[in-house]
Amino acid sequence: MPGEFLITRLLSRRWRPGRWLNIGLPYFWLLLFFFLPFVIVFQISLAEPQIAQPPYTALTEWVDEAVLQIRLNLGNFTLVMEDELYRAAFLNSLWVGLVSTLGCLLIGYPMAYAIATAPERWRVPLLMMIILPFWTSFLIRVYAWIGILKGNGLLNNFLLALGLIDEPLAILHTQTAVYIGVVYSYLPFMVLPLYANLSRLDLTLLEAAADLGCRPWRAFLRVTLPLSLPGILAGSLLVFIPVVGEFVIPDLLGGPDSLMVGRMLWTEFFSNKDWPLASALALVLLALLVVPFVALQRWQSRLEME
Amino acid sequence: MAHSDAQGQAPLAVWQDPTAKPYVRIEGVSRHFGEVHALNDVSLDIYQGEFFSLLGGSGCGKTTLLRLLAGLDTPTQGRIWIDGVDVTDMPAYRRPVNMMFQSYALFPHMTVEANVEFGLRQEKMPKVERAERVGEMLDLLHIGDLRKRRPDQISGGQRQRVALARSLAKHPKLLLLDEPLGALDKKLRTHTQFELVKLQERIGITFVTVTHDQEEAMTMSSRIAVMDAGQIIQVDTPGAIYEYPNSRMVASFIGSVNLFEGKVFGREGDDILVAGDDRLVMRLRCLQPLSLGTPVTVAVRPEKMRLCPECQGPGDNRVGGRVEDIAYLGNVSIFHVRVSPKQLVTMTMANTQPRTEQVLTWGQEVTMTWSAVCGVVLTE
Repeated sequence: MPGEFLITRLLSRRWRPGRWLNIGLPYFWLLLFFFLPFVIVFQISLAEPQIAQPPYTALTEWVDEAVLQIRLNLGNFTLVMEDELYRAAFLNSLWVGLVSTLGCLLIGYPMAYAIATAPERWRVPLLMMIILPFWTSFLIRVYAWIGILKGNGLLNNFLLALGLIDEPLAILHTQTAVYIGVVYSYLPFMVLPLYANLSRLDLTLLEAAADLGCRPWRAFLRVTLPLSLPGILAGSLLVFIPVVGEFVIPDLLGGPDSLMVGRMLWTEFFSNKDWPLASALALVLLALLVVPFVALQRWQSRLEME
Repeated sequence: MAHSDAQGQAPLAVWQDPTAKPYVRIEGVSRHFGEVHALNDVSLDIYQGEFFSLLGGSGCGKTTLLRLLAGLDTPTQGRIWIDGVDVTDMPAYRRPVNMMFQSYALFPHMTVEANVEFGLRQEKMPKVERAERVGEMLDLLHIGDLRKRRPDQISGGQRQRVALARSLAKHPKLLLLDEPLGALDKKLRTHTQFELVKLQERIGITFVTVTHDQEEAMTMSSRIAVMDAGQIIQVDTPGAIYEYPNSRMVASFIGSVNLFEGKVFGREGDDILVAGDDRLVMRLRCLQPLSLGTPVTVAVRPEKMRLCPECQGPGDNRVGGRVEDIAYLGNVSIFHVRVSPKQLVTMTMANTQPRTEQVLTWGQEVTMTWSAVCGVVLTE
């Protein structure tokens, strides 16, 4: 259940005497590092850019001794919602998120299943192989893909040497390169929750299914798959949410056609110094991501009620 | 050598009928897991309509044998026939066999109804017929009210019924039950034992069950196979296994027993004379030809022993000792009598009189007796 992501719920069930401190501490943490920054970003998104320090106008202003003027600039939001470019970036980001999540699922599920059903002594080494890349910098790993995908890179040279292609494939700086990079980078986030789920699967359930006349493939569809749904959901959210806002991978591997919100945000913030517009972008992105999350949680709790 | 109940007039049981064809035939089956020999050259015939129990301690191979019948495992050696068909290499999903798992293995994401229906769906049974069959099964096991609940919303006893309903739904010819009552508390267990037997008689399916509980096996089974270390030690009716165990292992596994070591030193008609330790001389019914000097073990059940002045026949065996311990269980009392520094003999007596009038006390010297036909001579 996605609710488990909330540390608060886990903590609040234990250690009764210090209950208030216990519940209070995580909430305080959330207040300080989530709610407060959110309020600040929200406030900036309603301001206007200016060349000053800070680079946005204040929302409130004393017109004279007794009149406090509040200026809320909703223009950033209307621009973000209505402008073709931003809309395309949002749609493209969601699309990339969706395709990458599916890609991770298609590759990650068999991997997680194989690890979960591997002999006991193989599981830890196999899991280590999934986790090991994390020990190298994310940036370096994405850079490495440039070396692999570029015109006279490893992949093209390999394919040319084999005689499978006559001229180098143009993969780098295309949407394909973004997909490759994203699926590669986020695969562990799919595999690990799926593994956690699948390794708990009671194998006698599959024996029971076989005993009742179910061929292995049908047993998988009717027993394993439905029971691993929480793992699929957890993994998909862990991949989808960060991918939609991903900046580094599309920036390094993508081309001019890989419009993504993360990149737009970066440009507005650092190149155009338009903090209010960047903030508005960030908030719309947040709203887009919260909606499916809440919907999923609702759906799942309804499943549990039944 | 298997003894059988000496009842000449009674009709032959199916396993005594030489013309009957076994429904399940297990022939020379072994199952090795690396170095571990879970089953070693096991052969067994089970007949239609039997309530057959595989009984043994943990690790004796009984569950392995059941899984081989279900097709969840394949033998290293040997062949298995069910209803005349060689099923040795047939996968579980094709066998006309269903199993009730020890853990019940109910699908947690399905309702009770969907669980029972699961096997029927695999058969592609039409919907109307399916609903009818599910209803029939739920009624049979009195779980109609639970049909919309999920396994985690019902009690252990109810889960057991759902598991049974699910395994019966396809009307299998052979039902395998792995410790079917293992997870139930004692009271529910006793109740369910009788219910299972009644159910089996009603639907006429052959049952093969695995249990480590000898009482359970005795209550329910038509026949019992006692297993140890991957082998079948004895196959017989509960009565025969109890009264005429064929080995020390079976004698001491089923119920409690007193074992006296000795050597054959004579024969008088159907009886042999055995010399035990401490000048104990025993006279026992034994038709088996045993040469003089053969070391034997004499097994005597605690309830076959009586206090001495009571009905002592001329040929009865006797042993004396001092009462060391008395356990009062209500209906019976158990006495531990020290007959020699090495040997403690257990004797049970029904408490036919109120406790206050009990005759024996601690430290009392007693002589116990048992007749020649009440002791079993074991050579293995």
